[in-house]
Amino acid sequence: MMSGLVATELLILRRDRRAWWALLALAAFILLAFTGGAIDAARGNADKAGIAAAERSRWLNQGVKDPHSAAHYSIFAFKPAPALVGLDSGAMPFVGQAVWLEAHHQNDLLHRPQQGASLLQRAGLSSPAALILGIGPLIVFLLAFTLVARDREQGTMRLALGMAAQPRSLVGSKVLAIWGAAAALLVVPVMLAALLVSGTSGLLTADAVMRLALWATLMIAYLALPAAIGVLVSLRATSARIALALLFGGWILFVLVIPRAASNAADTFRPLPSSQQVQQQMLDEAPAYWSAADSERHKRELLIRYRVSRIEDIPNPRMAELDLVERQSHRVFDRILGGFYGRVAGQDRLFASLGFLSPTIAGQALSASLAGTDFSHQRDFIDTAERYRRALVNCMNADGMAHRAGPQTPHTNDARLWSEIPAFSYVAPTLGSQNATALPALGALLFWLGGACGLLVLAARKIAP
Amino acid sequence: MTAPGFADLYRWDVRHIGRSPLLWAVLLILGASFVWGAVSTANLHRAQAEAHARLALREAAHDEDLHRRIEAYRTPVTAAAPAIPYWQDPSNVSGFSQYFLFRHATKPHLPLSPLALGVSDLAPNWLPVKLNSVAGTDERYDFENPRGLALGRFDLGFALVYLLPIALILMFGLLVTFERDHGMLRLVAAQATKPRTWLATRCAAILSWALPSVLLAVLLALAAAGTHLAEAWPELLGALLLIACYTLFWSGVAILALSRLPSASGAIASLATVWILLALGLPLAGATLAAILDAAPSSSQRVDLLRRTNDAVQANRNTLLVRAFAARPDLRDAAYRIADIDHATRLSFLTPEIERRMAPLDRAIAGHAERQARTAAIAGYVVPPLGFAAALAELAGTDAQRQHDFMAKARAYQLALRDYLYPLVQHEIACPTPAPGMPLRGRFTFSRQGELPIFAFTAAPSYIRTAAILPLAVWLALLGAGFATLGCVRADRWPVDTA
Repeated sequence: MMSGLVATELLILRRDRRAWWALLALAAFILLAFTGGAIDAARGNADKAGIAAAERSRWLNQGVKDPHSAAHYSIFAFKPAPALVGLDSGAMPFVGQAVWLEAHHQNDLLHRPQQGASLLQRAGLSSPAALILGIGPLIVFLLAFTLVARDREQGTMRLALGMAAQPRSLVGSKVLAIWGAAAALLVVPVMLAALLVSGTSGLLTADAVMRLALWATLMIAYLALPAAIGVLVSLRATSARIALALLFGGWILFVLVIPRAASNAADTFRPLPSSQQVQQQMLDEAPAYWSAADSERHKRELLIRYRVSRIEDIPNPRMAELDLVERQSHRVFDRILGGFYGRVAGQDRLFASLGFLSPTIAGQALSASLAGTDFSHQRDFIDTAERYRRALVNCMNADGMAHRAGPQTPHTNDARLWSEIPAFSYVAPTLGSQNATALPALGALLFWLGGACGLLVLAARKIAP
Repeated sequence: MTAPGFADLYRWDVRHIGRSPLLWAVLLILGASFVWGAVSTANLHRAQAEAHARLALREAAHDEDLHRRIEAYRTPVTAAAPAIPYWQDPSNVSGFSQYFLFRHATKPHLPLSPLALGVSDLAPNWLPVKLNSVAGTDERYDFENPRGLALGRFDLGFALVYLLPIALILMFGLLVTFERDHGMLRLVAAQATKPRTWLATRCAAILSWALPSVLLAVLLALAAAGTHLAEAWPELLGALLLIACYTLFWSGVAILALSRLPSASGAIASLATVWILLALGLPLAGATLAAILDAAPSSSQRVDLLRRTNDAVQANRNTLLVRAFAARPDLRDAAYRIADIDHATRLSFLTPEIERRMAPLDRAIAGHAERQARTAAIAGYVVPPLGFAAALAELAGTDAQRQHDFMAKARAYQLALRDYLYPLVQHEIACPTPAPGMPLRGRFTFSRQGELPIFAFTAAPSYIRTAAILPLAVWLALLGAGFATLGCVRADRWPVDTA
């Protein structure tokens, strides 16, 4: 009986051209956004893979040189776009894609895709997740309004309830019809498209499949929320006008205003130091070019470390000093940059926790986490690249220190040493390993879903012809 | 029966609408969002200005430190205090040029900057200017939380571009349809009033309250954000005019959507669809199309080319230097010194060569950015929210063009520094500064550290920015008037179910 009721409600929905066409138009925009994102990602990944291979070749074939010069030459590391970036670009357009892993510096990742974007490019930046989480609720509210409030206004609801054996099943069928239509048109096609694209581009790992399944589940669950709220408000509002005003106002508040305001609030309550302060502090504490007075201090430290009385007794004093400075800089970078990135993660956790104020916030935080496009995933790449850089530079310095050398007798090495450094490869973290923002967001979303469903059940119990 | 005149109806409607709690609730929320947005942007810009001030202090402290070091190196060389290597010696001109130059280009904010965030959250507002960075400054940015950048900041520009139309949709959609939804429209229709007169007076009454309130709220928001309004009065007048025209545009759209006097649900659904189309749909389609038709040169490819070019130039550096020396009368006889010159001096010859080889790709990248900017400018007329956002940013001085000018100025500053320092560095090859009688720790080939060119970025006169937004303001007003006229023409009969 329920399936028959749902089918009837779907038929009514499809007859309302305005609501149905709005749903179809959003579905088309979602596929368009996915296509744009997937093309960009495929193009970018192909570029990065080709240039990463060229970098490796350059590293191996750099010829005979001083190992520390090789550490300066080093390589560029590129961050591949994750498999699901087409579904939710998250932070990706606003974080760097490549980093130079040179000696003395923990460089920033550069080449943010949106760095020089025109206004059209930035305004047109969207993703299926952003559209489903942002515009999806408005369209679902419109469907709910069409099925419930207008029925009430025209009196057909009263007739239907009078004839129904179980009025609650009538409410349930309306929710299911709205939810089903939205999920089937907004989530399922783009999920299948993502499956197809990932499969054809060789990115369909078990982790990607799991992430995709959970992402689709998240989106479908999220759409249940506006379906329940839309029907609830349409049932309880005193008139169709009031229902419409409440739904539209609610959409503005929960989708447009609160997420941005919450983001500002996270910035305000957990402010980040400015880049200028961070860079200046690193320059002061770990300069790449140190003074003659610093050199004197380094010399004293080296004499103690090597337990010798003359600097000439150290096999390769220049390289020993470089190694000393390099290792000191690691501690500085960990403290300053590590602390800075920790504060960024803290902001993200606070933002996800504010999901209790708006389910859209919870959806945004969860979606980016599942797609592997939030800052915690970017941080994983930053840390991986930095570990590689340190290993490379330490290896070069160690080789220098192991060979006696001086200004007139420099030590050099060749491809035998360069090939001891493995090629840089990056494996993105598996699902569940970067969930600091996902857990509070999941809690918030469950809270919203539970609340909305509970209220809907209560409202359905009280319903009478 | 004599029909009441427009003025009579208008007077009645103004009094009636002015008592609507809905109108004031919407305007109050909108005003609060303006204040929040302006204060939020002002805080960001204040933090950026503080960073500029810290940079200026750091530059001064750096200069003082250099002076101290130079004085300390004015002592004779001894076994315990040997000569300072050139890369640690700020009195050595080549060492100074590569390792001690500490200058920055900064982009100050304009007085009206809280009006719109523009690109000020994304594009760098200060740049370290180094002598040998290829083609300008090294890429850098101020780190802002990327989640916040992706979501967008809640700024006054956002509130004006996106929330103001929604507020107008709610006000028009609910206040014009009140009689219809309460079954009173048939009473109105029974009078001699024509539907278009009724629609026009109701909409004019709403606008009479909404427009001054919005403009006043913008002024209050800017004042709350600490803007010195008197310092930016031409831009402020331009902004108020622009906001008025944007309000007229959306009012025209609303009148057109309401011309058949639909129910509130019908009106709001139609207007919300237009809003989604203009605010999200068309920009998304436009950006996707622009990306497909004119793909950006890959930044990864630039990394690759730069690496290959560096390798090629370094591999042939002696050949290149021989050629450069041969072309210079002052260096022709110093070719024997090529093998001895230091890294910094070599860079003064090799960096321009690398830039020359990179130029085709850099021109392609710049050309793509220009085409995208032109496309965005045209799109601003087709998609008014885009054009409005760009015009607000232009008045605020946070627009992409001013950023582009800043980057160009930073490059010009780098070239000015090169014009100052390169000749001094290269002069030391053929005519080295004579060493003093008693060898000193420092080399002392440079003593004009305090006379370096100074970076200055002057803003275009405010009337130019104000004049630049006038065509869009006129276009928005014309569109609004056209839609309103069309709406009034279409409103030639009462809805069938009320007649």
